[in-house]
Parts: sequence; structure tokens; C-alpha cells
Amino acid sequence: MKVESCMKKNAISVKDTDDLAIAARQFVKHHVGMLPVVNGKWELVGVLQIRDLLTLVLPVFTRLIEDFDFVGTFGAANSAQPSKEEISKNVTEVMEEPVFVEESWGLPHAFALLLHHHLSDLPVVDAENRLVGVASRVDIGSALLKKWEIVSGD
Amino acid sequence: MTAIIVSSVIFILALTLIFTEKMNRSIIGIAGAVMMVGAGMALGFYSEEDAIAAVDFNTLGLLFGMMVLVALLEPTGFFQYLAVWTARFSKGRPVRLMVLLGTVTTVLSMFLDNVTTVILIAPVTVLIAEILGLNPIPYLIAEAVLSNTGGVATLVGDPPNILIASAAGFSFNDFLTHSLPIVFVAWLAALLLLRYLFREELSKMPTNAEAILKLDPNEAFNDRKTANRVLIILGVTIFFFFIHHNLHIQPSFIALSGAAAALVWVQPDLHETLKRVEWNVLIFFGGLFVMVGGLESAGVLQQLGELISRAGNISPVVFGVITIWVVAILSSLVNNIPVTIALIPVFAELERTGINIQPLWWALAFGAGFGGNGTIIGSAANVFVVSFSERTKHPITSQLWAKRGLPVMILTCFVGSVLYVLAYPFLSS
Repeated sequence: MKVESCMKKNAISVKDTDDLAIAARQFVKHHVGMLPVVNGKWELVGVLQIRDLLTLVLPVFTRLIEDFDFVGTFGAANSAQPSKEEISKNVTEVMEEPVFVEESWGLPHAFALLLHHHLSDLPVVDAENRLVGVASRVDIGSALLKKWEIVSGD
Repeated sequence: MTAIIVSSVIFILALTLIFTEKMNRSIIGIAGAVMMVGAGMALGFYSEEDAIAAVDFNTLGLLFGMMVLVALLEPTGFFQYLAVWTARFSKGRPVRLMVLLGTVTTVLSMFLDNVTTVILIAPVTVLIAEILGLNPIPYLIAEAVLSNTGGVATLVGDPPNILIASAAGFSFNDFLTHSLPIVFVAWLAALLLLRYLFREELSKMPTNAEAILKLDPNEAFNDRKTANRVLIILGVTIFFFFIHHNLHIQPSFIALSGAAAALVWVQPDLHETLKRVEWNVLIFFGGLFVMVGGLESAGVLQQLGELISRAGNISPVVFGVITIWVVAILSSLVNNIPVTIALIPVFAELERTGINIQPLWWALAFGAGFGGNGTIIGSAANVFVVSFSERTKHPITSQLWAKRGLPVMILTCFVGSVLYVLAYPFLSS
């Protein structure tokens, strides 16, 4: 069974010319956790995780202090907003190297990649590296489970 | 003559590399030391035995002993506890917070290495500032600058003081009687100036000051049992510093005894403890001792001493004031440790020409200590605070330091000079 059989075909993505404000709106509008970044030829150039945007407003001390159990409230940091400069950055400045699958690859291969890289979604590309869909952990996982005799026999 | 030229070139090259920050300081120390000994053996002015004799083990022992004590105290959360407690006490008022955090950092750095103190207090400072919605820069700069200044007050507060005490034979109490009063006035002046320079940032009151009360200092204290043991040993160690002169023992023996006692009592994972010891600093010192030993054997420092003594007609008081400023400027450019190590033998040479160098040792201490505030590389605490701030949303630039740290250096040197002149008869005794 191949990835193309379980992926979502109309993938929500952002262009490599978009800024983070556009990406933020896409995340909220489509309720997704990952956005593939494509260029003008629809080729996959990167991925933007929702955490990449959220770390912009996460207090710095959470990265500086190992154990912050003694902090009863985050106070002013609870209502932090990203600065204008930060939010007008191009998505390519923040995006990560893409971990992707090709539509023709097998599902166990795709699932192994998800586990190995601690991801929940994978962009799917064709043989020319053009974005053709997105497959989530649940998409891939349930498609695999469906093949189990104990499940398919019901 | 060749020996003088070759050894000077090696030393100046090392200082230039330190100044340009092109290479790690400790690597420069090792490479420079090896080059100096190699050149010395080839030209016959410096031997391996001379190099070993040039290392001041008194200074290294004292530094190592204190580093072990701090390394044991560090993971207990004691410093975090102090910072949180201080923040609660400030009730979130910016000026009070700066004064209190600056004071705590200073008092700690009078007895412990000031870089370590700043390293431990800075992350909690950022936490406090973020919770209150304040810019952390004034607090971070104040901590570095005030601990640099305050460290000049005691024998163990600042590495140049350890070097000077070892060379001049000053006791812990000599620093308390000769340096502490002058440093106290300079420190107050520095605090007032920082208050003025950061008046804009400090005028912004936090909207949710009560958030600070939700920080639980006790929760921040991970290992009270170990902390108590190390603090008791530290207290006893400091007590012995006060009386080391009467007992005729060196401060390094006291510090090493404290370290040994604490290690026996706590029995930590030694590997973890030794990882926290700042070996790079010890290596840097060792390398500099060997290099400066080469300069001395080649006769460079004697020539320099004679040159200075021939300039002779200047009154000793003015000479002291000039020393404060020259040492301060050199320290802010290159860092105060190499400057102090290089000048100590020059002073010893001056003594041989009949000059009373007793007051000059204090001028050297003030210049080296206050000069460290001048630039972002002037002291190790500054280097840390600046590179640390780059991880926050408010990076400290060298331009900003020139507007906030440099004025403090100038003011403290000025205050130090005036008090030096007034106290000259006392400092000469």
C-alpha cells in the first residue's frame, strides 16, 4: 500500500514569498500543525511547523532554566505578542528542512520517518519533488491498521 | 637583544590575538607558552625549569579551590533561591530590583568568582524581567558592572587581586582596610550612574508586579542538604581568610583545604563537579605565567622598569594616578588578567630601583578592576552577559556598552583616583 492511497490531496501550503503573518493566518484558518513551503513551480522547499511560530512568543527563560517548577505564573509572558519585525519575516527564514515522502513510497516507510523525526504530518511529493498532498500520523497509521486481519476481518 | 625582540614579539602577538578575539584565549595561552619556551631554549634565555618556576601556583591553587566550592554549590539551586528571594523583596519595582540584584551579585562576587556569580544569576534575571514584562538589559549590565567593581574590594573577589596579593604579600585583611573603603565609594557611584543612565528603562513600572510573589524560592532550592554543607565550609574558609596572615599560611592552602573538606563531606559525582571547574581560566593563567616568565628572563621587563623609573621626576602620587588610568585602559582593551600578570614583574623591578611600590600595587588593583567595565571584552563577566543577552530578545551591542559600561569605568576610575590621592599616605604604609 502506497502513501498516495491515504494522503489528503488538497494540501494547505504557503509560498516561499509569504511572510509569517500569512502563515499564522493559514494555521488558524485550516486548523493544521504543519505547512509545506513551496516555490513558484510548486516544488517543496521546506516546512513550517506551528511550533516555529509559537517559539517567537515563548519566554526565553524556558530555554535558559532547566527546571522552572518554582514559577507560579508566567505573568507578562502569558500575553506576549510577536514584534512587527518578527512577524513580517519571510517564511524561508524560519522554515525547517523538509522531511517528506514520495507518493509511491510504502506506508511503513512513511510511518518510520514520522517516528524517527518525532513528526505528526509529512508532506507528500511526486517524482519531480512537486507537492501533491499531506499525510498525517493518523492517516498513515489507520491505513496501516486497516490492513491487519484482525481489523479487516470485522 | 635578540632574546628581547623575540620574546616581546611572541607576547605582543598573543595579546593582539586576545584583543581581536580571533582565537580562544586558553588556546592562545598554551600556544604562546610553548612558543616562548621553545624560543627561550633555542636562544638560551629561558629553560623548561624556568618556565615551571614562573607559574604562580599560589594563584592557581586559590582559584581552583574556590572553583570547586562553587561547582559544588551550583547544582543545589542556592543561587536561584537567592535571586528569586531578592526579586520578591523588590516587589517588582524596577529601581529596587536593580539595586537588590546588583547588591546580591556584588556580595557573592566579593567571595566567589564573579563570572560564575553572574552566570548563575543572569538566567533568573531574564526570568524575572520576562514575568514582569521588563527589558532585562539594565539588570544584566548592572550585575556585570557592579560585580566587577565590587570584586576589587577583597583578595578573592577578582583574579588580578589574587595575583597582586600573591606578588606583594598582601593579606586578606589588607584588602579590607585598603581597598574595600575606596571600592565601596566607587561602587556607590557606579550604582547611581547606572540608575541615571537607565532612567528611561527603569521608569516603566510593571503592570503585574504581583506575579513576582508567585515565584516560590523554596521550590527553586533543589538540594538544601548539600547547599548547607557547602555554605558551612565556605563560611569557615572565609573565616580562615581573615586570619591567614596570623597563621602564616597562604590563602591558596585555605581554599584548597576548603575544597577538600567539602568534597569529603558532600562526596559528589566528582566527574560532574570537575566538569563545572573552569579549566580554561586556569590554563589561560598558566600559559600567561609561562609567557611573562619568558619576558622576564629575556630582560624585557627589567628594561621596561628602568625606562619607567628614568621618567623619574613625576611625583609618586601622580605616578599612581597615571598607573590607575593606563592599567584601566589596557585592561578594557585586552582583559585585566594578562595586563596584571605582565605588570607585576615590572613593578618588582621598579622596587629594585628604590621606588616605594606599595601604593602602586593598589593603583594596579583599582585600574585592573575598574578598567574591566570599559568594553564588552574587558572582563569575563561582560563577555558572558553580552553573549547571554544575544539569546534573548534584547541583545547588548558594543555600542550600547560604550554608552552604559564605559561611563561607569570612567567614573569609577575618577573616584578611585581622587580617593587614591587623598588616602595616599595610608596606602603607602
